[in-house]
Amino acid sequence: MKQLLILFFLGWLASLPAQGWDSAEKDLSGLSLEELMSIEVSGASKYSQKVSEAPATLLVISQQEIREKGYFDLSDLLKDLPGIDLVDNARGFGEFYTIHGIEGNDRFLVLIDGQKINPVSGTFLSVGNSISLRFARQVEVLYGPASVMYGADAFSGVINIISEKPSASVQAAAYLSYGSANSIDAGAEVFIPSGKDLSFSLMVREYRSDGPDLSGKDSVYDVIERYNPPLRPEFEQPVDDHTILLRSQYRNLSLSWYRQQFDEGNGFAQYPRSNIFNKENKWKSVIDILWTEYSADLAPEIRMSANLAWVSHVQDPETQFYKTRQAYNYNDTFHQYLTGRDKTIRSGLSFLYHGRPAFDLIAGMEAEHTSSIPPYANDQVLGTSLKFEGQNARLIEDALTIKEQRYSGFLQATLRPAQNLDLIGGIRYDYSSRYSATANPRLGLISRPWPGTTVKLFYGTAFQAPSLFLQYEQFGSVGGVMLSVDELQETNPGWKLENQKIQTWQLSIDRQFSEKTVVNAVAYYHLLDDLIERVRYTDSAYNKYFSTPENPVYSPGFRNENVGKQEIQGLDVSLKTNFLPWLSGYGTYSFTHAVAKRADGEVDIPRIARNKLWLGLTARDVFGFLTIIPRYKWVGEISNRNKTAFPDGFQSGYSSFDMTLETRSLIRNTRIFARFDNLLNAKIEHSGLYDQVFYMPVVHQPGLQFRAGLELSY
Amino acid sequence: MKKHSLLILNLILLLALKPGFAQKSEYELKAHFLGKFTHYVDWPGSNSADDTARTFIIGIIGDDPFNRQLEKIYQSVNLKGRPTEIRYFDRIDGDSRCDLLFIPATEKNRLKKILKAAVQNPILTVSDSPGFAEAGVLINLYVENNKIGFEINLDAVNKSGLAFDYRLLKLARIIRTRQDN
Repeated sequence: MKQLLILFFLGWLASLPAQGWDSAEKDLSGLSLEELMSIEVSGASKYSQKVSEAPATLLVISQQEIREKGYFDLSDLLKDLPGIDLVDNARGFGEFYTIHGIEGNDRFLVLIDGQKINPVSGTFLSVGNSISLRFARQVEVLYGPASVMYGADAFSGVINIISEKPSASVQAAAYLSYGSANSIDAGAEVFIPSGKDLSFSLMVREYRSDGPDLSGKDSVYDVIERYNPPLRPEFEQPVDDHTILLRSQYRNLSLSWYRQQFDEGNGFAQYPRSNIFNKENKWKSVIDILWTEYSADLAPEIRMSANLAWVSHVQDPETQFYKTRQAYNYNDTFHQYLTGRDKTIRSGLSFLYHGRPAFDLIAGMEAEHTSSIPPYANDQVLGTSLKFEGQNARLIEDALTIKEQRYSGFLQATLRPAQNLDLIGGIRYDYSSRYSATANPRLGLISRPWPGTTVKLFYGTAFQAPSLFLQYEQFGSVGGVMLSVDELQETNPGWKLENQKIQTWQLSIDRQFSEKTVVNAVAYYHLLDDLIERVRYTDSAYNKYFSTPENPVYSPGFRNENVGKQEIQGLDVSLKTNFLPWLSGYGTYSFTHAVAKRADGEVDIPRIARNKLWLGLTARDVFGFLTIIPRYKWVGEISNRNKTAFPDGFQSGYSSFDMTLETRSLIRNTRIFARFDNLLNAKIEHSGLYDQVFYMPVVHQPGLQFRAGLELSY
Repeated sequence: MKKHSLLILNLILLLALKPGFAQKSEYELKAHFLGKFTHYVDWPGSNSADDTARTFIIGIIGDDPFNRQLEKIYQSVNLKGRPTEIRYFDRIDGDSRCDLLFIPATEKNRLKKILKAAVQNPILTVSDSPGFAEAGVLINLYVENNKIGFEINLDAVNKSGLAFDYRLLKLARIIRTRQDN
C-alpha cells in the first residue's frame, strides 16, 4: 500500500503543470547568482557528468553553502542531508551513519578528488572531525549503490569531495575558531602559481577538543565518580583530528598527498558499567594517500585519465577498548588493543568518449594490490589483546598479513535516441584473489518529458567485500565470546565470509514549478542479501578472556555469517524556493521503512526514524551585512532493538534548532562566523549501538553547542 | 511485481511527451546568468501598464552560441513579471526592440556599431568576450578557475539609464570604459 501511495505521489508530481525551465536546467535554475558563480563550468564528478545527466540521485553542495551553513567537517554536512539517520558520538565511528536505510560506515565511500579514503580492507570509516570540508570546492553526494563506477563498498552511497583548484594568482587564507568543550579549530590554505603551467597548493586543518562531556546527561555515568586510581574520576574523551592536502600540478599532471587523522574517544556509545571513560579508551587511525594523476585529450571527443596511488591506513597501536573484566568492578581493568594496517597500491585508466549529442561512453580498468593486518589480529595471533609493538608486532605481522589483488573493468554507455531521453547501461566486473568475482550492472533512463521536469529511473546492483574487521573480529564479554578463525576452522574448515549484495530501484523526479521554486522527489527500493551478521554458533565456547586455570568460563560463542536479508523502501521530497531576492528557504521530508527479513518475520532495522523533516531559511544582507541561516530538524520515533528499554521497538524522536551567522562586510578580507547547534538545549538521545552482545538503549547527546571564529583571506 | 509495473507505466506515460535537449555546460551556465541578472536590474518605466503588458525580450545578435537553448530555458519563464521572448537579430538599430542583448564574440568587428545603436534604448548588453566590457558592454561574463564570473562597466551603467542593484555590483569585478572608446 505504501508503495502505491509513493507511486501515486510521484505520478501526481510529474503531471502537475509546470512553469518551465528545461529539466536539464533544474539543478541550476533554483540557485542564486552566487551559487551559480560557484559551479564548475565543466562537471566535477569522477567522469565529468552534469548533475542533471548523472545516472544517479545526486546532490551537489557548493562551497558557498558549505561556508554559509558552517559545515566545517563532512559530519556537519551529513547531519543536514535528506535520508540520513545517524548516531552521533558513536565511539570509533565518530558518527554511525545509515543512508537511505542502509546502515554502516563501511557501506558508503568517501572520495577526495576521486580517491577513496575508506580503509581498503573494508574496515569502517571513522568520520568525526577528521574529514575537513575547508578544502572543498564542492561536495557531490550520490545516493544508492554505484559499484559500476566505484567498485566494492559503493553500497549505500558515494561522497566525493572536490578540492579547490590552484588559482591563477597567489592566494592565502587562514581561519581560527573556538567553541564548546574547549574546541579549537584552525586551518590555512595557500595557492602558489609558478609560471603559466606549474602550481603548488597546501591545505591544512587541525581540530582539538576536550570532547563532549555527557556525565550530566544520564545517571548511568555517575559511576565514573567511583573510579579509583590509577583511573581518573573524570569523563575524558578528547579529540585530536587533522586533515592535510598537498598538491603540485604541472599542466595536466598532478601529484597529491592527503592525510586524515582521526583521534577521538572510543568510550562513547558503550556501557559505563564495563567501559572506562578515560582518555586511554581511544580510537586513532591515520590514512595517507599519495597519488599522481594525468589526463589528456587524445582527440576532441576522447579524454583519457590515468592515476596511480599508494594508500596507507594505520590503526594506531594505542587504539583500544579500555574495559573492566566484571561489570562495575573498576579495580580489575584491561586494555583490549586493536591493530589494523593496510598498504595498497592501486591504479586506474579510463577513457571518456563524448559522441554528443547521441552517444557517450566511459570505459576503464583498475588494479589494486593490498597487504593488510586485520584489526583483531592481536587476539587472533597472541590469544590476548596485547599492544601492536616490538616483538608482538613482528609476530602478528608474520602470522597474519593478508594479501589480496583486485582487478576490474567497467563500461558505461549513454545513448540518446530522442532529444528528451537518455538511456544508460553499464557493467563492471571485479575479480578478487580472495573473494568471489562479481559483475554488477546498472541500467537507467533520464527523461525530460516537459519543460521543468526531469525524470530518472535506475536499476543497479552493488557489492560489499567482507571486511577483515568482521572476518577476524574477536572479543570476550561475560555474555558471549567472538570465536577466533582457528576455532572456527576446527569445526568448519574453509569458513570465510563472502561478498554482501544489494539490488536497488530508484525513481527521481525534479520539477521546476516557477522561476523561484523547485521540488524534487526520490523514491527508492533496496533489496539486500548475504549481509554479514553476528550469529550464535555454539552455546558453550571457552571464554579465554574470563577464564583462569582454576576456573574455566564457558559462554555462548558467536561468529559472523552471510545470512542477512533486508528490504528498504523510502521517499525523499525536497522543496527549495526563493521568497525574495535576499531570502530563500528549503524543506525536506524523508520517509524510510527498513526491515530485516528473518525466518520468524520482519523486524525494523535499528536506529532509523521512519519520518524526518528538515526546514531552513537563508537570509542574506540582513542589516546590510549579515547572513543568517536558521535550521530546524525534526526526527520522528526511532526504531530501537533494546526491548527492555523500549518494548514496542521504538524510542521517542527529537528535534533540534541550529543557526549559523556570517558576515564578510565588517572588516576587509575578513569573514566572521558563528554556529549554534541545539540552540534550544533540547534533550537529544540517539538510538544505541550494538555493544558486543547488547544494544545500548540510547546514546545521549550534548545540549547547546557553539563555535565562533574568523577567517582572513588574501 | 505490481509496483514495478506501475513504475514502468509511469515512465512510459512521461516519455511519450515533448523533446528536450542536451547542451554544453559552459553555455548552460551562462544562459542561467542572463535570467539571474534581470533580478538585479530595473528598466525605466518597467512598472507601467504599457510595459508590463508586453513580453520581456532577450535578443541575440549574429551567431547564437547558446544553440537555441535560451528558447527552451525561458520559453515558459516570466522575467520582470512578463513572459519571455527570444529574438535573433542580424543587426541592431534604434527600432530594434529588446530588453537584454547578448553580443557574442563573433561580433567583435561590429561591436562599436552595435553599442551605439543599443545605447539609444535602455538595453542590458551582455557579452562573454575579453575586452568587450571595457569597450562599453554593461556586463561581460568570463571564466576563471573553471567558474563563471562577470565584470560590470560602471561608466556604461551610469549612461545606460538602467538601475543596477548594489548586490549585483558587489558580486562583480568593476571596470571602467577604456579611454580609446
